[in-house]
Order: sequence, then C-alpha cells, then structure tokens
Amino acid sequence: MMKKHLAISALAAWVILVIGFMMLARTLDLEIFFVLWLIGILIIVELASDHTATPRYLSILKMVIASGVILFGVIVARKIMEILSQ
Amino acid sequence: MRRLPALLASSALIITCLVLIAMQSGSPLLYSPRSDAFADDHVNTAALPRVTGDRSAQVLPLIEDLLNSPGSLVLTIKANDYEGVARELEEYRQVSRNLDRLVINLDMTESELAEFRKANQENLHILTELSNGTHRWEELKTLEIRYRESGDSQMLTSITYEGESLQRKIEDLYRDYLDQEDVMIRTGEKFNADTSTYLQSERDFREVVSQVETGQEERVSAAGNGTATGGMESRLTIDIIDREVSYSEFVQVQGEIFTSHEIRPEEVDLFIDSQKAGSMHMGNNLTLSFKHVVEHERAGTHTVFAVYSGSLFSEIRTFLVKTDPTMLVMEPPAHEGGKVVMMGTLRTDKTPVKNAPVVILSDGKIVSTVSTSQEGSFRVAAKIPPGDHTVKALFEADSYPLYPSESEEFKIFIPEPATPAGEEPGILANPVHIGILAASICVSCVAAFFYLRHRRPGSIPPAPVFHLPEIRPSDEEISEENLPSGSPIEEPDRISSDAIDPGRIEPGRDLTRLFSILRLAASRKLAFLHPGSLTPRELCAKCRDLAIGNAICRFTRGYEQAVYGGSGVTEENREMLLDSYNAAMESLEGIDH
Repeated sequence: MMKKHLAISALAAWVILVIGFMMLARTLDLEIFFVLWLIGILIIVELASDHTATPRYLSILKMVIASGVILFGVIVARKIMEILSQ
Repeated sequence: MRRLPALLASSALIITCLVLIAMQSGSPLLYSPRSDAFADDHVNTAALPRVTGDRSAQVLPLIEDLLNSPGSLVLTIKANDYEGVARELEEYRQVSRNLDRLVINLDMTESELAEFRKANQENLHILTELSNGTHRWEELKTLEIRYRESGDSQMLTSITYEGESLQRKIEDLYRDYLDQEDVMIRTGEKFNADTSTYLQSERDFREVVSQVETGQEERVSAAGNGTATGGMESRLTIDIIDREVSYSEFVQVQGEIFTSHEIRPEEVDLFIDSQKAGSMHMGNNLTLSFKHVVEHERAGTHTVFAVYSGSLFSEIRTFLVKTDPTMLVMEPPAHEGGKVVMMGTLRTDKTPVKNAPVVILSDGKIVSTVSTSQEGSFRVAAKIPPGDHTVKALFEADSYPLYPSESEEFKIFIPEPATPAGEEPGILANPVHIGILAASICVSCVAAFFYLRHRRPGSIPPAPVFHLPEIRPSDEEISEENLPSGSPIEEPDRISSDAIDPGRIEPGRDLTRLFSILRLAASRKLAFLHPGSLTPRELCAKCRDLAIGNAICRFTRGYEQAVYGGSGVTEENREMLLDSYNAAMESLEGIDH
C-alpha cells in the first residue's frame, strides 16, 4: 500500500477511535475532538515525511496543520477567557 | 489495482466520521429517555418505568450487598480485627457509591429513593464512627494496664473519663443505627432480599455496646469513685444548668473548687467529649463558670468534666443535644447579568443557622454551594445553561444537630444568549481578554511558521540546483521553478557533483546530493512538476519508459539500498552508483543535443 493511503487510513482510524471513545464516555466535545485530530495528523505527517522528498500531499497537509495550530491557539485563548470570566 | 479499494475504504471511514460528527451536532439523536436514565445524578422520572424491568436483576445484588455489608462489618468490629474493618469499610463505601450511580434505575419513588440513600449513608457514617470508637476503646484498655502498673492515678482518671465519653458515644451510635432499621428492612423486603443479616448486625452491635458498658463499669469501680484528687482536702465539682439544649443554645457549666493551697486557682480546663472546650474562669462569687454554644455537636448525649492543673478532676456530667427541624426558604430566582440569582434564609424555629452550607440544585445536579451569613441568609449567582430547569436549595445538616431541609422547587427558563456562543458580550470588551487572544494568536502563528520551516536534526540540506554546462537557465526561470515549500534555492553551480569525491561517497550526505542533482536535472529536462516531491521510486517510475530509465532506476535502487536499507556503500555498489549516475547524466545531456 502506498504511503499516502497508509496515512489516510491511519488518520481515519484515529478519528474513528477518538469518536468511539468519546461516545462511550458520553462526552462528545468538538474542541477536544479537534485537538486530538490535530495531534493525530501531526504524528502521521511526521512519520510519513521523508528526508529527500516532500510529496505534494504532505506539503498540503503541513499547511493544514499550520492552520490547525493557529486555530488551536484561538481555542486556548477562548478557554483562558472562559476561566477568567467565571 | 490496490489503490481503488484503499480509497473506497478511506472514503467510507471519513464519511462515517462525518456522520458521527453530524449526530453530535444534532444532539437530540444521542439523547433519549433511556440514555438519560443512565446519566450520573440525572433524575428523569419519565424514563424510570421503561428501564425498571430489565434493570432489576442488576439492582437486586446491590441491595443485598448494602443489607449484608453492615452485618459483616459489625462482626469484624466485634472481633477487633481493625485491618479487616478498614478493608470492609472501603468495600462498603464502594458499594454505596455504586448505589448512587445505579439507584436511578430502581423501581422506587423519589422520596423512597432519598430515604434509602440517606439511611445507607447514615449507616456508613455510624459504622465508621463505631470503628474509630472501638479502636480507641482498645487503646484505652492497653493504656489502662500500663498506667495501673506504673501507679499513675491521674492518667487512670483521665482514661476513665474518656472511656465514659466513648461509651456514651457508642450508645448514641447504636440508637442511630436502630433508627435506620425501618427504611433498610422495608427496602430489602420490597426487593425480596434476605434481611436476616441486617437484623443480626443489630444484635452484634448491641453486644459491642454491652462489652463497652461492662468494661467501663469495671474501670470505674477499679478507679474508686471516679474522681481522683490531688490531695485529701482538694475537691472540684461542676454542674450543668440546662441539661437539654438545642442548636445555638448555651451549655452553661458552673463549678466550685476547694484546694488545700492558699493560692486560689483562676482557671480550670473544661473538657467536652474528652476534647478541651475551653477554660472556666473564677467569677466574683468565687464560682467557676463557662458557656459553650452548641453549633457543630452531634445530636445525643455529651460528657463534660473539668480538670485543674492536670491532677484534680471533677465528676463527669452529661448534657443532651436535641435535633431541631430547619426551614429553608428560597425566593423565586431572578436573572441578573446572564446569571440566575437565588437568595433565601435558613433558620430553626427560634434562630437563624449561621455559616451553614446550602447546596443549589438544578435538575438534581449541584450547580453551586454557598454559606449562610450570620443572619442565616444566603445569596448566590449561578450560571445555568439555557433551557427549562427546576431549581431548589438543600441543607444537608451533616455536622449540625439539625434535621436536613430543602426549599420549594422553582421552574425557570433560561433564554438562549442573544449573541452566538463564544462571542458573549463583555468578553472582548475586556482589554485583558483582547490581549490574551492577540498573544495566543501571535504565539500560534509563530509556532505554525516554525513548523513549516523546521527541518529534522540530521536532515539533508535543501536540494541543490544543478545545470548542465551548456544550459544555464535564466534567473526568471529559476524563480518560476516549482520547488516544494521550505526548499530555498541556493546559488546555482555552487554545489555540483564535482564537489563529491567518487572514492568516498557517504550514504547519508553525498548520495542524497547526487540523487537531488539527478532528480532536478531529470525534472528540468523532462518537464516534471514539483521535482522536490519526487521520491526515488517515483522518479524511476516516471523515467522507466525512456532511454534514460534504465540508468536512473539502477541508481535509485542502489540509492534505496544504501540509504533506506542501511546496507552502506560497498566498493561494488559505489561503482554501480557512479556508473549509473554518470550514464543518466550523459543521457540527459544527450536529450538536449
């Protein structure tokens, strides 16, 4: 199986696993889901990266991760503001 | 051929994810009376009848455990096995916690449920206290032997008094334990559980009390009249003015002291339940007096005695603390600044209850806890989510000689906020919040930038640009080169294959450089897009049908073996790699001609 397909399958499996556990715990939370997805995609992209070649899809995924990191910063800021406003 | 099934499987997984997320967005799909009944501390009486039948089989063992645990525990206490007692108490606590989680499924009304839970919690508290009391009782027996051997009459008197206090406490515990019988037995019979163990535990408890009473009688008779004095002429007597008191009333103790010494004592220590409560001061009328406010004493009998100078003991007196009913009155809740404000008062028939914890419940869940003021009033502003809710206040009276009480229930409706969630008015109006948001976004932008720019330790430097001697692209062409992000173009011709010593090719750096040169040259000549994204295998696949394909594929195979396979660059391998590299480069040069 190509590395690209392995990466997609691993990410999908990770997401399914996260949602499954969230449903079992009855605590479905989009913010937590997003953070766990970000961690998953980060690890998968790092594992799939090569020294000499950066396939196009990995470059795009890295851009997606960079956007995710910025969104993560916004989530953290919101949480801090919620705690401060309590 | 394998690509299509993999794509289909991945698509199916992603669609499943999206469906599950959509289910979360439409939360009513995951919310049903049945699932609601399993939620912790959530009371939905409408859901109860649906789950009663199939859950009773799981609930019955729990009820039996709760009825049997006290019996086994009392027996272990009676046997003075304190390690076993600690273990069984922990098990009992665990079973009680299970009750709190599963009790929602019982075929019981809400009041029966509350009664059973309360009785069980009371039993747990009583048996914990009994365990501590009997443990201390055994320690006193050991100390008594030691002091009797050493002839320390003062300490013997002290032990006798503490024993008296313990005896009364254990007798009170027994009475409280009997009070729970009605609820426990009724619940057991409702579920056809065996209640004989529970009834036996009451008899065992009675035996423990009898043992303590007998032991204390023996101790008192051995100590004489129970009052040791420092000298034949010295005497300390106390009396309690009102022997039955309620919450916030005074226990007034008066006493007299006669000593053989000329110095008149100014202070005498007073002990309530063997704990020092304060000092009695000598008044103008040559009597000692002390007032103690009843606030956190448990209901029941308490012992009092006085000690002067650690050697002169008074007789033991007792007083009874009665349990008073309480009234918890809450005013209708009001909305104020996005929160629900609840206020009210807690008082007995005669007086307000001060500094007492009042719990605010919304739909059976605790949303806030507040303490009453000196006037017994409380005020709390709680944040409650939008929707219909039922709120009430509750006073549990755990450490007070008071009965628990709860306020009237109020139905409230919390409207949805006018602005979307996360953009509450006021949050961004605060400069601190704006600062936090700006700082967080800046930090995350910097982190994202460094993530895109970072290179792994030990990774290969950016791919060099190699140009065949005759063809040198213009600067414009170089800038239009579609290189992958993060691969800055270095000075053309500065890095070339000439810099590599053919005799000392290292698999990490030199080989990769050769591959990069070859890949870039091939991409340029054959117009491949995104040359930096081509792996050795992809480069080979793209060139396979061309004349140069054989040389390139030979090179990439050797390259993969040396770099990825870890086989290193052998003598034979080096020759093959250089030959295939040179052949490929010559062929590429030939394409131009």
